[in-house]
Amino acid sequence: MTTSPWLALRGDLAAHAATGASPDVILGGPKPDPNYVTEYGKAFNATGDFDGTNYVYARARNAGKQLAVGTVTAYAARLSDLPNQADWVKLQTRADGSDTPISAKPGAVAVNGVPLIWEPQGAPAPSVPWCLIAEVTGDDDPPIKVPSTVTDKAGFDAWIAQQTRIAYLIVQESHVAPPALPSFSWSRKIDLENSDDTTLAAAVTCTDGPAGGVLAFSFDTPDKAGQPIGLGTTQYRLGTSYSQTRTVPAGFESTITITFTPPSDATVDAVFTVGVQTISGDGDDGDMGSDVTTLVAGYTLRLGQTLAS
Amino acid sequence: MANATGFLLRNNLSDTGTLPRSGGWTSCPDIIVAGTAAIGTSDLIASYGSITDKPLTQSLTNYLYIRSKNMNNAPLTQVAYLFQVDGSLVLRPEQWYSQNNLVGYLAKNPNHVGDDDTPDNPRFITQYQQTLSSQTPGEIVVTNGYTWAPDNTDHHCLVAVVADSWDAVLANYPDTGTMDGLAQWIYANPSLGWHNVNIQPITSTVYESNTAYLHSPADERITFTIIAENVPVGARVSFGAQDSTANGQMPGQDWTTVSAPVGGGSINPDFEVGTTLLVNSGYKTVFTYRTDFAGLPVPSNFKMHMTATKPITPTAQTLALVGGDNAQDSLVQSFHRAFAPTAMFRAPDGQHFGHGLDGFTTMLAATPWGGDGNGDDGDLDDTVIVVLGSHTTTPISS
Repeated sequence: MTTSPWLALRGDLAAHAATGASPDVILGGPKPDPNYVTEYGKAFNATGDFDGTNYVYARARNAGKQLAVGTVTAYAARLSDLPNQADWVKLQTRADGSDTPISAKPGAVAVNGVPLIWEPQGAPAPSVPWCLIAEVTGDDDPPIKVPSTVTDKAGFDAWIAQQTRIAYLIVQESHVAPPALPSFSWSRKIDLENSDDTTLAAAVTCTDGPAGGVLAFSFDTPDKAGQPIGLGTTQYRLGTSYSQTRTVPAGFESTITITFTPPSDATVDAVFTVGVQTISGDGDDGDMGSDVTTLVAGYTLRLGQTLAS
Repeated sequence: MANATGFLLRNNLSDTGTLPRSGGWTSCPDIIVAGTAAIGTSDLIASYGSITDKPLTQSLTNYLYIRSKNMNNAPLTQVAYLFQVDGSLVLRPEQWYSQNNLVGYLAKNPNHVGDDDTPDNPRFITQYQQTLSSQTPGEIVVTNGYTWAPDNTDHHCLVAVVADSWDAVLANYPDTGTMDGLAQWIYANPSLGWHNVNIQPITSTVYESNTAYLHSPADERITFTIIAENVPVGARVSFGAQDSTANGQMPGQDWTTVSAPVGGGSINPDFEVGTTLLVNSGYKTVFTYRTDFAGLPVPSNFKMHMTATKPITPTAQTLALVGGDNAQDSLVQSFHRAFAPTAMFRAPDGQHFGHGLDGFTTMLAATPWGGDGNGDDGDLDDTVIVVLGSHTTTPISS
């Protein structure tokens, strides 16, 4: 294993700390930006697209005196999994390679030419953000093992601060303030006139509408346990039924309100089916049978707007 | 040159069944690696021109399918088997070409008694053989799902074999200890396929469970729903079935992130997502449903289960009840809109009504809605279609 200066990744722009803000782990486009190399003192994008494809680059400076040729490997991990290297998910190139070459002349800066692909398939919970870990390896610089003595983030940060070939980035959410959007809602009173407790099921499905739209619905009367009935603001998926199934007391009467917020203030509309039902079970033999439902309200709604051009 | 007969499993997308076969042989497009999201038969057939190669996830139920083209000049029925092979054992077929390495699928145990699910009284049993049946030459057919939950992330290969029987499968033993020998074995047998797979580690706590489903003797629309109770906001839920319906649809829901409940909070007491489709008489399957806690702690009172519901025609009494409510309502009262503060309202002839809510209110007063003539006559099966805002809504920036 070499100990001489080689391809180096920084923990932060000041190059003296490692708390998940490496400027050398970059989320870019399908092709590397030449500015990654020419503007070494600048941190580029660290914001992830949690529902799409992200292209990951590692930027390294050759601190040695000879041409350095290495390989970039990158991993995705949740913050809580940083000490557990076995839980890191290795990223691949679009061609299914697990690593991508990098080379730099003495003193020069380089990035991997072929990005590694990261598709997280959903935003993380705030307390466990995604991290991207990049590592540079070579013939004399094998993959680095996280010591077993590292058991938490503080220990991980202390350890990685001593490393020059591995760095990590806590992926940031987009904080771009969204423009004010209109929302469209519809309400209808529901009166079950039930003499006993009954099971109420309400389902809303977007059958046609723009990607990125948001759906919510709520009843203004809680269930028998006093819990609110409804769906909080949720980015819908076409054809997916969002429902609530609750026990409601005798004489249940409430107004259901459905709200659609389009992804932009543009000419756009969406179609929703709304069903409010009461349910009687099929008997429980341990398997899933088809419950029998009685439809008490059913609508198809088109909500949206047409803007003048 | 000769052509393949029987069921063809292609080496690669260029393989048309002309013998001898050649080219890449380790990514058979007819071994469909779907990952944790089930795929319906109709989609599997429609995607014959592409490769589905999603990563498998360790310890979770992953779906795999065998697709094939009938190269016979007559109807054909054979059986399909799927082997999983640890990468380190590829060159030792004596260690994997056996029943021990078959990938199976779950079936309801016909001898199960009561509600217990124990090793002596399992609710499900594993079966291995699936039938491929084609009535038409050139037809593309596909199995229902095989399910596999790999217990490690080691590199693996999948090997599919279609034959007349299990004995015929065993008779086609790959008697070779070299990669070239395995390639020749695949090349020479058009009813064989090989597909290398990647297995990714499971990175958070996931609860997974199964339930059987048998549909009643009628074709009906059914909504299948997963219900997660007391689930952390930010967790994800999904479900899938092993078997397609008669029209090739697959009941399933890909990973869906749990949103905050009404009123906010970090725990959602009741998150439900589902899908509705036409289910044929006698349809039976096994559902796998799961919650991925995405690194979040698991609440002690968390529960999940699935339901299947079918709407029935409302009774006359119900119609009358809700009809009464509708009669007291109107569309203008029912619909609401929140405005972008910069929205400006004007009439088609250019009349300016003002900005925001004031502008909208003024526009409403000047522009009659035309009553509730969109079919809102009190019946439950109304289709209410209203576009709010109309062509008179114009952003101030335009």
